[in-house]
Amino acid sequence: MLVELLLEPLRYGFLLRGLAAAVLIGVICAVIGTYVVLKGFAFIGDALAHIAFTGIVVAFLAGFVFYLGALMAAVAAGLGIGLIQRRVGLRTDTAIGILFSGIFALGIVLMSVGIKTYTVDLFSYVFGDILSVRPSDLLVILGLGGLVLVLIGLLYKELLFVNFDPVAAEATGLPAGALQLFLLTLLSITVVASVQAVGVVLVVAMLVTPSATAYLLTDRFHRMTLLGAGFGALSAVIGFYLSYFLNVPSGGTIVLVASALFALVAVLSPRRGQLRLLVRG
Amino acid sequence: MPKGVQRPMARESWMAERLRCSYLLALVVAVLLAACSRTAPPPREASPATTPAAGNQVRVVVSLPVFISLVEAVGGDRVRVSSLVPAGTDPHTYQPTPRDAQALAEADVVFVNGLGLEGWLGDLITAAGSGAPVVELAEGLQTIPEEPHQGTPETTPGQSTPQGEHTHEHGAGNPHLWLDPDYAIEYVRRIAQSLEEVDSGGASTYQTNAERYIAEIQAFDAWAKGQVQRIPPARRKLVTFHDAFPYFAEHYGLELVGVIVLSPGREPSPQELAQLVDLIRQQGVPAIFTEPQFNPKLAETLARETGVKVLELYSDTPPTGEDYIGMMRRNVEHVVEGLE
Repeated sequence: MLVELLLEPLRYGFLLRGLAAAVLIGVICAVIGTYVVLKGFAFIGDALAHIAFTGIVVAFLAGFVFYLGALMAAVAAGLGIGLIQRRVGLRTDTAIGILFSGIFALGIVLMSVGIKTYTVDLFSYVFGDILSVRPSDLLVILGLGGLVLVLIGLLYKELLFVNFDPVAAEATGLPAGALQLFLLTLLSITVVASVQAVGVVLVVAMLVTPSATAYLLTDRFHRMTLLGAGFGALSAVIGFYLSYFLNVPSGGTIVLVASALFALVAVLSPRRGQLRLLVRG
Repeated sequence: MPKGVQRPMARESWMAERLRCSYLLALVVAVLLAACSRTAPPPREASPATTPAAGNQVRVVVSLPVFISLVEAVGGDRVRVSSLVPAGTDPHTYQPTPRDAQALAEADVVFVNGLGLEGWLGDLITAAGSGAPVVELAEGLQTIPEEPHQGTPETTPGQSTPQGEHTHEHGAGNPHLWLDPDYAIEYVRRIAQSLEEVDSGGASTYQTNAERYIAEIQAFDAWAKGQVQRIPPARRKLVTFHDAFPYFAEHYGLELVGVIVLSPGREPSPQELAQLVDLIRQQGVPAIFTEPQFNPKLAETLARETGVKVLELYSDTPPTGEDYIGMMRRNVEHVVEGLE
């Protein structure tokens, strides 16, 4: 009975692909999200998505594939954020703010200068819908997710060291700058691929909320990563089925489930008291 | 209280004040920026017939690009037409710019569709202080009420909400009347009559031009009805991206089976799409129609699921270089190609 109920939406190929994409993105984003949450640049997802828009405008004007434009813009911006932060000595969120607004504004101006004839809604090419995931999108996410997980796994110790004790890391001779830029590049690619497949709200939420939920339960880095991935996948599955049976949009519902999980854990967490002490410092 | 206590309090309130000021400043700059980014919009496909006597022309502002060719057909060289909504932009959610207010303020007459399609326009006309008459082309015409097309028996209570929203947005009845040639003829008559009122000197020109264009529309319509006859009756079924084609469908005897999104920007739920897939399969709908200004991904997903074709239809903006009749001809050709 229950099994039948759970299988009902999966008769449709596009719903099955949507569910698979949501779970994959829940896991991938949560793994990278551990760094995002601990380093405190939660809005990088939103920023990179809007920067990708400028890439799409440029691609539209220059006549090459939208996806390539978005990817190049996001990777360049990721590197730019890292460079501004290191060379100019500003905090990461400031660097994100500068590049986000600057590059997005460039996109808006270019669009109004460059597009004189019949326009298309270019925004709709940045912000996908989880119900319109194509088989090729799923392959991209799958390949990308595998790549991200393997690379983070291989460089786990180095990334941890460089991100959370950069001075000591540099003293031991690790290429700290390069590793940080590498992480930002990984993040850029993940965001672009996910956003154009499933939409911006879902990606921004998945980069932050599941990892933050995990943060409430543990202070071990690897445990936080695994728990975050678990919360991401769980939110995707629960949210997807809820949206099907309640007849509401899927992306938004998944985000609401992730937020509800966070609230639940925040209230029930045995570590909450310690967390408050930690925040009070 | 001693001074020592007052001072930090004063400083605090000063800081709060400064914070409030910065916030306001940021808001103002944001609004200005948003306005600036639109002040140089793409040209609105204005009348190419810029005669030297531009000062004597009747300045007409229309809401949608599709109305430009109707007004130009009637007004000829006597009018200069511009559209508020740029080509290929969604009129439901369009954000007007300062230049739009200027165009309205300088206009001699304004033509809009009405029925809530241009919900943002009322405030703008008031704000622009325009004294020009505003003619609602669809006013008082018989409309099709906006009912769910997906006549699914298992309609859940949740489904009534989005439908209600859409109805609210469009006001009474579906506003896309001009996609039915009979209504377009009515629009042309109203345009001619209003132009006469603001420019009585051109009355005979407007009458002659209107009669000629109406004859052209009728000729097109006769051709189009013949084209639709080529489609086997069982295949005369339409699934469109958004709910713009009920009048078109009724006029040409096509059954409107469903729409993909009720209103542009409103995300469909998985169940709505699943039900639409079932309907397409059950009824053997041969094709799905998108509109060129929207990302076709969702329609392509449904087409892949059901194994049908995807084609384009035009609603608000004719394809480059085409007038109303040219746009309608493309629509009919695409329908025949998709369903035949």
